Amino acid sequence: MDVTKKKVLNGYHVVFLVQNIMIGMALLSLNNTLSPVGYSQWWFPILFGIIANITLIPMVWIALQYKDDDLFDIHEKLFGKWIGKLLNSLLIIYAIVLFAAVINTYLDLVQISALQDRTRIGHLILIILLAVFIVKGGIKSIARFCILTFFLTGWLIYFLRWGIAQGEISHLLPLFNFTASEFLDATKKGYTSMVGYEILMVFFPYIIHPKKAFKHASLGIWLTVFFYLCTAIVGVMYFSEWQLKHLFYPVLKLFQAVDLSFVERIDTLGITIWVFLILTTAGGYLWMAKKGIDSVRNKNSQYHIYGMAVFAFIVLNLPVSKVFQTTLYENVFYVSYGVILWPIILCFIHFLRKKKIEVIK
Amino acid sequence: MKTKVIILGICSIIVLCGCTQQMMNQPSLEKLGMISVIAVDYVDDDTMKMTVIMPQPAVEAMKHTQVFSIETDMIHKGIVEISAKADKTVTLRQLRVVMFSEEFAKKGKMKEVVDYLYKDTEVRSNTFVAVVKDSAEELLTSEYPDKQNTSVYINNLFQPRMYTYFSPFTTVHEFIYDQTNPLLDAITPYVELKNGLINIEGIAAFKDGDLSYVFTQQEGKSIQILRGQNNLSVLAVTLDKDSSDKEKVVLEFIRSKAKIKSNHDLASPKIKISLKFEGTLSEYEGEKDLANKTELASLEKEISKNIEDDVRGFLQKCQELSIDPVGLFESYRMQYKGDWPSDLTDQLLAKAEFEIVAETEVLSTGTLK
Repeated sequence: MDVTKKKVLNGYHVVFLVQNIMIGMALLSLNNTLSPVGYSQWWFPILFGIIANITLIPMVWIALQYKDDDLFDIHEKLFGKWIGKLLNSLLIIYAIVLFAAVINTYLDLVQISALQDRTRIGHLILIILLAVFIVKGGIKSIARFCILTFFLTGWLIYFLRWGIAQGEISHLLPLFNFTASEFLDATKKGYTSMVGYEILMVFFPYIIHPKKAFKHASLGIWLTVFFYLCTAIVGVMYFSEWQLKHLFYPVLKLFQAVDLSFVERIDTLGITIWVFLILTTAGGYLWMAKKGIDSVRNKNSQYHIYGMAVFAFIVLNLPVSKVFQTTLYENVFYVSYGVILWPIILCFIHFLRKKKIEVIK
Repeated sequence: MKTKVIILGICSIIVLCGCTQQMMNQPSLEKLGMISVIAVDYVDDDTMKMTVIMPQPAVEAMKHTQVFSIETDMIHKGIVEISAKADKTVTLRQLRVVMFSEEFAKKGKMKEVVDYLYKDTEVRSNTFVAVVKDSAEELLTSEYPDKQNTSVYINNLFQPRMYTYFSPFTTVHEFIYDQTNPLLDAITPYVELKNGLINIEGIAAFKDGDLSYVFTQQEGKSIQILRGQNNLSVLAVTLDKDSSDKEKVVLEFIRSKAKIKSNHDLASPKIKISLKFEGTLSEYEGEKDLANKTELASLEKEISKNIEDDVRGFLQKCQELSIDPVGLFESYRMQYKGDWPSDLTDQLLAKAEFEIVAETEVLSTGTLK
């Protein structure tokens, strides 16, 4: 059932794919999601980096056992055709809802902060079309777009300078000023910002040097951690604990602190440039959904991208209440935790299966 | 096939035109009324008087600033009312300064308005806030014939400049930060209309959202030094004020450094404040020979002593008023387990003992002997 695959992704592609799919909307509200632990939040990205790196091990290990198969193929091999296809269908829904969630949160932000007097339908269509355009070129096209995005958006970190200048370094202490429940609350909410590297299991067969994939993916994760860490530290320095708790998008306020003589309203510039980060994340999940459909239908077709895009458009425009939408989009990130931990179960089943085969032999 | 798709595409575009919503078009720049300064006065507990000014770009206009004044209970409602009066679409995107009358600030209403501005994404969080003695409206309606226009004048006035470092120039973000930080009390510049010009008279200090006290410029300097303002530009000191052989010294381009250390004992708090100043002596009135090293050193000591007295006096006043605009107990918070209760700051301030050590270094005394 394996579709013909080509090794197309080099080390750089893997690094930037992982890094850019991980950074989406979550960075804008990182300080807020980590606010249950107050000022002690600044070192949490490091903790998240370690957790991400540990959970990456079973992902890469299981993928190395099935070098030419992606997660969808592995499911069918380990669980059989029907259960495999059922699991794959669930993964497709997961990818599409995440795709919709990322775009939805971004458009909400655009509407409340930059273009209050415009409806969002036009922007929605444009973003979906752009995502389709990127995904049409395959995983290598997404990877190249990720590299471009890194250079187009990475420099925004310079704007944190004003936050540092006006901030108080003393806020970084004490380090562990939280209770166990606050710690769990912040970790539960905050780890959603790390979601994205699980797509590695889908693009793994395309990597030219699979043995180096762990190293490259780890580099991608730690690059993300670097950006998160900088933002978290500057946020902690610049804001009071009340502000961290009550501001939905603290990064926008950090952008507003920028004082340049030739340009004002850096926050608007920041939001606009953020579309690149949204496109890489959304593109990654759209591609994942496309691969899922390919696998379920046993047919490799470009029309699956269009189908998925239309499906996502319908999901985004369903006549359901705003409360339901918000709950769905918030909770889909928690499903990601399951997807991230899923390879551990896969490794376990792989062992059992291997033993069974050996016994039969 | 391709031709059919193109024809279908063109047809759908033409037909779908009918589905476009009748939306309000985004007005062009000329049709936007950019509010640059807002002044808020107290009317009663539910109502405020809101005065706004907008620059008038039309060359034909007699005045370069448009002024609108209304009474309202909510800022946004007021903006809508002003839009109805003005010939343009009013927006807060270019808002630079918001001024509140002293009465309004004393009634504790200022926080609500600043909260609203902080929440509004149209307003930049580095918009300046200030408190005005008497009427805030008067500041905007007054004529400033020698100024380009009122908007530019007020905006420039609130830009931190070399010789106005004694004033904090509080922004919306800083005001909210100070208000919500349990270790700090908020401060804003305090201005007054005097002889047809706006003067920065002192620093308004807030306690629990209400304007509580107005510090003088000299005290403002102490606040800025203790808050860690590194550049003070000018420091004028009068030594032996009461005696006949008083000396006057002006130090310029000062670099100051303040270190606040504590004994970390919540029961009997002791704070040690070390201050360090470096600067050039630009003006001196007195008997000392500045070319003489010993006399210069004694002058440095006297200046240090004078600064120590000033800061001590300021801190005593803070204790009396139970206001901490500096954040003196930050080092206690750095080791405190749990959420810092705001009344703990008051308790510590009431019983704190201060040790102040200032050190001044005159880098040069000018080019004349």
